[in-house]
Amino acid sequence: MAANEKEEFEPKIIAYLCNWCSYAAADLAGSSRLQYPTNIRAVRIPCTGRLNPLMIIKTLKKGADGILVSGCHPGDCHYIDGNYYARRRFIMLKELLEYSGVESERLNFTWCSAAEGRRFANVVTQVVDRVKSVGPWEGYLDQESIKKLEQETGNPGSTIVGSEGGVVDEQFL
Amino acid sequence: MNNSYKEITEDLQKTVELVFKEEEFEQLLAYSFGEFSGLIEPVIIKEKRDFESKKIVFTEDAYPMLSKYLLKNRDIRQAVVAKPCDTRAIAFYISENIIDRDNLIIIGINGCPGIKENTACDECDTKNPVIADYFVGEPLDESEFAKEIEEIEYLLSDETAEKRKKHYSEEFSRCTQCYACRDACPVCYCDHCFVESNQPIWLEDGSDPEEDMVFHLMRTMHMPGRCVNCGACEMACPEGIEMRSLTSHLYHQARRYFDYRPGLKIDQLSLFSDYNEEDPEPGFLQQEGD
Repeated sequence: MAANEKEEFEPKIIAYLCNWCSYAAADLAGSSRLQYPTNIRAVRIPCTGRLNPLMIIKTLKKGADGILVSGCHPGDCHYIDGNYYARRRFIMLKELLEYSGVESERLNFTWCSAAEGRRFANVVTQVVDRVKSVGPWEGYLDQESIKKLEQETGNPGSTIVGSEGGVVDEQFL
Repeated sequence: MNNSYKEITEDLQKTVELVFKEEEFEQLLAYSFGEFSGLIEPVIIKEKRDFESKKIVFTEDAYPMLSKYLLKNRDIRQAVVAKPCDTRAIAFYISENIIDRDNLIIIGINGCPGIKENTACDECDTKNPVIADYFVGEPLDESEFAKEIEEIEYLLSDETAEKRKKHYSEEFSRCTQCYACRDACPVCYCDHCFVESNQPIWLEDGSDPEEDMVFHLMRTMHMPGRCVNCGACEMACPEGIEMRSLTSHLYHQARRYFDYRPGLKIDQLSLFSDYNEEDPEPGFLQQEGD
């Protein structure tokens, strides 16, 4: 059963694509009838320099299994140097998330120009394979240690839909 | 050898008296014993007679970062007693044009002996002030504290990713999101902080333990290129959460990748306001033919 489930796992990958290059590359891949997996959800951004690192942290919090950020090649930015800034930020974000336990396979960054439709298709295939190799995303927390804590204290203020909450004080019943 | 607290205190009192004689300013920030608590507290001294009644000291409990208190009165001329990590924060303020250099009189503490129970002091790499107008104590020889990139060791740097994930899950499950770490941090100065932002909402309401972790990740993500590794966040935490290893990791990685350490010069751009075309690309996806 477990092995079967793993085979059927289809990751949800959010792809932040630069309007001026990678988004056009995705378009080119489509109009050239190139095949690539359907696991990515493309989000068009004006430039990778626009991408706030907090957005990536939040995307993973919201349940995406992986991230792909694709921008223009260094030196080719429409806004001269947006992708240079993005590169520094992404290196530090990757260091932070990997240090706190996020698998490096979930965080993908690459360059793709508007003419590289085939490269874009290959990149998406590569990213999907990488994310599939580490399995579904369980959140930032270590599930075992959190279960241990919830048994003790419960989580009475939980706002998660469907959660029953934890300890209920009898005087309120 | 580090200076002792007693030597520094004696020298400090003499220096402050000299500063009162020579300089004109509106207030002085220093450490003193609290009137009722008897503990070390930051004091603001506005007139000379206040200085005579308050005893300015420097002890192993002087953990509050006085540089943070400068931010509230940026327009007036202030004097401040600054530990070496404070002077780095001040150098950062000046480089970011938050405070005018002419409005500051910095009394720097040479050869800082460190603060009790502050783990940041174990990996300190600046024990002399970066900038100062007056110096207290004997300067330390640089060979005694300067660290090469290769010999850096810090908390959890040898653990596996799974162990760290477990460690942070357990630590941050105690977080009540009181934001004391943000309030104590000398380089958190935004008027509009992301935690209180409701357009967009970065942090959601409720007591989801994952949200606590997300808060700390987002807070840490603001730190590379700012954090001067002073350890004030951890000293301020009422739950005793070990959070400094995250910022410390980014501090050392920024040094490794970009040879960047914040607050060492007053004219350097911050890490994310600058770039180098030759920056490394660790872990970036490669395809055949690239």
